[in-house]
Formats: sequence, C-alpha cells, structure tokens
Amino acid sequence: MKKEPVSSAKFYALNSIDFTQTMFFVQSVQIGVGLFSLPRLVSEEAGHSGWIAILIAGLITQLSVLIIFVLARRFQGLDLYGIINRLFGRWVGSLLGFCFALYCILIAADVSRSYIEVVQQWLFPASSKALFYSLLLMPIAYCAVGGARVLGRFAVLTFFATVWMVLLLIVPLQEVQTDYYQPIFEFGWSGLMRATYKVSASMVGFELMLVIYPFIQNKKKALLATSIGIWSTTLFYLAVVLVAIGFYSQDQIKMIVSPTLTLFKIVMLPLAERIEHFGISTWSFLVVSTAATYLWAAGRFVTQLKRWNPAFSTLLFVPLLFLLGVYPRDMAMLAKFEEIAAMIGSAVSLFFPLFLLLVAILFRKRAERRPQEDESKGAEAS
Amino acid sequence: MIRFLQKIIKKIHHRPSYDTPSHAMPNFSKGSLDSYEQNIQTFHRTFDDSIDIVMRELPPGMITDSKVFVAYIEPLCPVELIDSAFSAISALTNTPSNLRPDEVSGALDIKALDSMEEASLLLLSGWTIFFIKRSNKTYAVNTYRPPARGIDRSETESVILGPQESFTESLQTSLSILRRRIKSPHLKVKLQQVGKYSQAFAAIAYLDNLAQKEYVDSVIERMSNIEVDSVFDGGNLAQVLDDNPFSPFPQFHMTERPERITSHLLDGKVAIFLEGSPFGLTGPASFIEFFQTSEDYSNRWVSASVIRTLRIVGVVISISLSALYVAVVTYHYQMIPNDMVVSLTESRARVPFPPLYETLLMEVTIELLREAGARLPTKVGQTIGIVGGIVLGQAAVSAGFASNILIISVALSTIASFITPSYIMSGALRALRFYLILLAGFFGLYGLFIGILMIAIHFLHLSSLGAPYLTPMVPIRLSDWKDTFIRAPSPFMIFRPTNNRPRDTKRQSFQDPATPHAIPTDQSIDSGKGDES
Repeated sequence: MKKEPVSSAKFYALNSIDFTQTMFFVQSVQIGVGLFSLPRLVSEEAGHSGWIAILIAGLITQLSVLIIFVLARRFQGLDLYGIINRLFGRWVGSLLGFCFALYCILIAADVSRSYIEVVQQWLFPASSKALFYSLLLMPIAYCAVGGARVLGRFAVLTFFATVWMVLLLIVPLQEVQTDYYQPIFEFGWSGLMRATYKVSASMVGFELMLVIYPFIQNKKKALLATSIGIWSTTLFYLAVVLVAIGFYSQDQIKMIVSPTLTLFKIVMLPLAERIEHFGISTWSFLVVSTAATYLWAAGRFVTQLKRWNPAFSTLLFVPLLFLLGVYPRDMAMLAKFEEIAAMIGSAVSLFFPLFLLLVAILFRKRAERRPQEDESKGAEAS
Repeated sequence: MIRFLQKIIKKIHHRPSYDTPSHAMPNFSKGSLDSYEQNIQTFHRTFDDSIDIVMRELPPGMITDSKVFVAYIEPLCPVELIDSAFSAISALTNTPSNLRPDEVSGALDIKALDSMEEASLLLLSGWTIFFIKRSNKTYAVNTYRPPARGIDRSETESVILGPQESFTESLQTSLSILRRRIKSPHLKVKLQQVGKYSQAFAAIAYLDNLAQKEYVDSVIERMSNIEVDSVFDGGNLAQVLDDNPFSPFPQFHMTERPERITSHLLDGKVAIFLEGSPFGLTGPASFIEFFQTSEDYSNRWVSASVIRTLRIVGVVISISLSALYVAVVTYHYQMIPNDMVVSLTESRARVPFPPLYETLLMEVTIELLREAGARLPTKVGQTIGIVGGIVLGQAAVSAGFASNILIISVALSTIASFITPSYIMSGALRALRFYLILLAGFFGLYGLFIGILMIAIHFLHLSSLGAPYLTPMVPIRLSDWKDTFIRAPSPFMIFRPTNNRPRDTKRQSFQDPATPHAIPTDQSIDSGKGDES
C-alpha cells in the first residue's frame, strides 16, 4: 500500500490473513448484537424447543458457506466484485457491486446502531444517540482503514477480549431448571422455520468470505477455518439460548427485551456487581469488528475501481454509515429498520452466492476462460 | 492514514523557497585534487575562522624532504597519536611508491585521498590530513580519540541481578563492550554517518547468520535516507527511523544495557549505536519486549514469571484504574458492591468536585511531583517526592479536595507505571492515561472502551521494521508464549523467538534435566562421608 503500482496478487499476499485469523474473523463478524435478544426471538416463534432452530440455522449456514467456497474456488484470485464484473460485464457488474456495497453499509449501520440502542437503554438513558454513534464510528473507521490484515488481527484480539464472558454463563447455569426443556422434541415445523429465519439474521457475516477470500493465505484450509468459525458461533449461540431457556420460564422470556443481558445481571463478583455494564462495554469489540469488516468490504468496491487509495476509498462510505445510523429516531423505527436489515441480510447471504454460482454455471465459458488468462498474465508479469 | 497526516504536515510546513539555500558542506570541486597550493588555499578558506583546527605547513626535513601541510582538530586528537601519524607519513614517503599506504602504516588507519570533499569530511571526523608537496599526494591518518567518560553503572535501567556496566557515549567503547560479549565472526558492524551537520557515526550491528537480511537492509536504507540537521541521541534517531512517527509508542527498543543488546542480537535483531548516545537501538521490537528485562533470565524462572505477569497487570492498572474510577463513580455506581458503597460515599461526601475534576487534579499533581523529582538533583528530588507526595496527598484529603479511594487509585496507577522497565514505554502509557480519563469522564465505561479500542487498533496498525508490533499475542505465535507473560525454565528455551524471523531458529540443544552433568552416586557420597569422618 506504500507504493502505488502493486499487482493484485502481491497486494493480497502483503495483506494476507492466516488460518487462526480466518477462523476468528468469521466468528467475530457473525457475532453482533443479535445475541442479546436471540433467546426471546426463538422462544417467541418455537417455544422451549427454539434451540433446535439454532442448529438448523448452523446447518444452513454451513451449506451456504459450501456454495461460497465452490464459487470462490471457481474464480481463484478474484473477490466478490471481481466475480460480479466477470459475470455481468463492467456496467451491470458495477451496479450490482454498488448494491452489495450499500448492503454492507446497511448491515454495518444496523449493527452499530442497535448496539448504541443497547448502550443507551442499559448504561446511559439520557444521552445523545448521534454523539455516541459518531464516537463508535471512530474505531470502526480506523479499523476498516487498516485493511484485511488489521481486520484479521483485530478478530483475534476481539476473541481474547470477549471470550471471558462465556464464564459469566456459569452463574445462571446453576439455576437452570431442566423441566423447562421438556418435552424435548415438541415443536411445530412452521414455528421452527420462522425461528430459523429469525436466527439467520444473527448468522449473517459469513458472506464476506467472498470478499476476504483472496486475502486468505492457505486457501486449501480456508474452508476448514470458516467451518470451525461458523460452528463455534453456532455452539456459542446454542449455549446461550439453552441456558436462557432453562433459566427463564417461557412466559417470562417473551417479556424480556434482551434476555442474554438480563442473564448477566444476576452475576455478582466480590469486586463488582452488575457486571453487564462491563459486558456491554466490552461488546464494543465485537460490534467494531463486525461493522469495520462490513465497512471495509464496502470500501473494496471503490478500491477495485482503482481511482483512490484503499484507505480513502473506505472512508468514502463513513458519511453514509453515519446517516443510515442516525436515521431511525426511536425504538419502533429501529425495530423496523432491524427487521428490514435482517430480511435483506439473510436473503443476500443465502441466495446471492447461490445466484452467482448458477449464473456462473450457465455462462460456463465466460467464467472459466478469463481467470486463466489473468493467471497467465500474472505469471508473465512476475 | 499516515499519508493523510503527512499531507497535512506538508501543508503546514510550506515555506517559500529562498534563493540561496545554505549547505551543510561547502561545495568542493568533486573528483580529483588540485595542486598543493590550491588545496592549502581551499583549506584555509574553509576552516580559517576556527581556532581549534590546527593547520601548519612543515618545512622540508621535518617529516620528509619536501614541504608538508598538516591539518587536524586539536581537541579530537591526542598528541601521541599525531606524533605517530607524523612518523607513519614519514615512513610512507620514504618507501618505494609501489606500496599502498596501509602496508606501511602499522596499526594506524591511513588513507590516500582523492578529493577535497573527502579530505574535509575526514578532517572534521578527527583524522589528520597531510598534503605532501613533492608527490602532490594527500593522506589522512585516523587520529580520532576524543576524551570519553569511563564505563559506568547504568543509572536509567538499574537491575539488581546481572552485570552493572552500561554503554557510554563513545561509539568505540560501546562497540568494544559488544565485541567482548559476542566473540563470533558472524557479528558484523557497519558504519554510517547521519545528520547533515552532526555527521554522527552510527554503527549498525547484526549477526549475519541470524538476522533476516530484509531487516538489515531496511535499517541501512532508512539510515542512509535520513535528511536532518543532526541526530543527537538514540531516541531521536529512532523517531527518524520509525515506521510510524505519529505513534505515541516506541518502535525500537532502546537500552543502555549491553547484555540486553547482546541477547537481542542473538535473537536475530539489528542493533544501532550512535556516537554521542549511550543508548543502543534494536529492532524489530514488539510491544511485550518493553516489559522484559535481562534480570528475568538471571533470576529463577518462577520469580521471573511472577514479576513478568505483575508488569502486565501493572500496565493495565496504570492506564485504566483512574479512568475506571471516574467511569464507575460518575455513571455506573450500580457496579459498586454494597459493602464498598459505604466507605466510598463516606470519603466522597466532602469532595465538592465531580469525579473527573477530582481525578484530573490529583493526576496532574502526581505528574508534577514526578517531573519535579526527575529534574532536581537526586537528594532534593527525594525530599520533593516524600514531602510533596505525603503532605499534598494528606492535605488534599483532609481539605476535602479528593477522596481517599481516589488517592489510592492515583498512587497505585503511578507506581504501577513505574514498574515498566522501559522509560519511553512507561511515559507513553502514562500519557494515554489522561486520554482515557477524559473519555471515561465524558462517556463512562462506553467511552473508556472506545478509548481502549482505539489504542488496540492502533497497536494492530503499528509495525516495527515491518514486523507486527503485537506479536506473539496477535498474530498468535504460541511457541513464543513461553517467553512473554511467563519466563519458562531454560530447558524450554530451545528455539529463538519467531518475531524476528531468525535465519537459524535453534538456540540450544535440548538439555535433558534428568541427566545433569555429574551426579554423585550414593556410593561416592557415602565414601566421601566416610573420608570426612
């Protein structure tokens, strides 16, 4: 990035992320603020068997990841925007790419804004949302400017900064009532499907593998790393939801807006009470990780136009991110906003790669010839 | 980001260019030398106004049978050396001309020159310059031996266990200490001059079979690209070489302890010494290395590990304790346990300020005391510390300016910042404390964590000579963890740290602790006892 003329292959190599970073990357992008209300969402739709929805969502995610990897391997060395350009030509491709960039910004705004809402409800009831939101944008922008390398490392840091919170589950775990789970496999399929749809909003994030794929060092093990990432997310969600379902009664859990946080509320350490204040603040690591990655992914669209340097291209989207984030004024509007974002998010992450793959298979010739040319060009250049 | 800042700096520093830029070195005719008289004239013209530069023309017969012009800087060259330079030149001019100058010079460093620029540069570096009329040749003899202070105890980085000597301002002394410690043909030392005016000698030392060539080349390239008037100290030089000069954190390890530099060199790092500075720089540095001392390796591993962990805890306390106090007392009083609420409210009941002002007041006071103690002579400094600390702290509490608990937290965080072995690093962390306190005062825990996030992301952006700053934590290098938070027993130290990507990774062969060198068997012990009695 210091010198201007860097070939794309070398740029990717200089900013590569390794196996563990890929693993934590997927995980930290997936885990956002969805977890706070997850137990309520699944219980509303599927009752005490809601935890099964999480496993199903995990399976669907794994399937989607497989599709993404088939697609990415087909276009070796290209990221999402490159693939779209190959498939649809320059103009339509740019339009679609721009739409994906907008989608990324939408999700980033959704995650950060929802987090600000939680911060406001739990920590600072009388604060200015715009101020807190713009404060959060600073680390997000700074992290996104660093590119894949900083994002990958930040994911590792995020993991270490937040993993201790799993221990907080121990306290409510001691008060779990096993009757709440029974009868275990009692569920209606339609409810379960609706619950799975709700969960999928919290699973979103793995579709960015298409953008980060060229940066991954060891491409053969990338699928393994990604799978470990999504399954650790799934198991973490599962653990939280299981504890929550066992801890609250079904009537109670539907009344609480953020059951996960209320779980933490009962933890009392000799040095500090109300540990969820600390937990919510620490959660900023996960939010920044998610939002910064989406911001960077959007920035990649401008970067590949090769007009401005990567850092500036990424920063171009920050005003839009700010405007989208302050747009929902109250809780009701934010709920609507979240709903729309969740819908678009699950649709894009599931069907967009599938759609691209189908198009790639249909226009087989066009898709396979070009990358080979590119490879031979790269070989000549080096 | 850096580029953006650089752009701003360029804009701020924009000045109209003047017609006659002043050069550090006058323009000499490059290439060949002129005639004997012209050379003398040039020298007189250039150096006439300085009394410390001695220029003499010696009549024939003094050194050789022709006129000889000699020039040297008196304070830099002892008389004995100049005498031996004279005899070396006389020997040189009397020998057949097919011999090279270094073949007759003995132990003295002697050079035949071919440009005036070189001659004046060498003169300024303490060499004695000879113009010989008959052969119209110019020689320079190295007579540089400036007065230097002796090897002393290290004052800034004192240790209890381990060698007490430290590097000095003289480059020769520093290199001699280094050579004494590493007797290996692989230790290479390269010399460079830095600074337009200072032309200070800087030595780049590395072990060529260990240090990665990229790092060595990078250091040499950066050194030769330096364009500043002068560098006067290692810390000053480091900021010119840094990857990110805007960062508050040092990106080169700076130490005056020889054994520290030795071990860094043996880890595959590159060391830089600067004439005039007792501090050597080593890089690539990683964050965690600033919390290690050579004492850790002299000490037993358990106590060393405990102390290391303590230092990390110290860092956390020193940057976040006061900020945490401000955040919790201002916004998150629900977090305080029931039993503590009473004592906290009691001590805060009389304080008229909000926690932010109270904390800033005490933090500034402590920093004032610290700085005053550092500037004053040692004995007065101690008095200031004790009187200021105890009297002011006690008075502040009884006057109702600050709460007792705050005094504890401020004092604790200050003390915690002092256990960081690196002075630069502890200063950087102390400065960040104010930033975190302000954020915590305005935005509570949320602000505190935004501040910590910014610092963390800044760490991820940072690199030292291109190597990531936060290794071995991020990116994870599990094999290095044996020597980061803890110091594993020496049989585990088989491989060198991977951060410097040493070319030879193996440090020692595996020592099987089960079979030490000579265990006395039971029989020999018995027989020994028998002999005694």
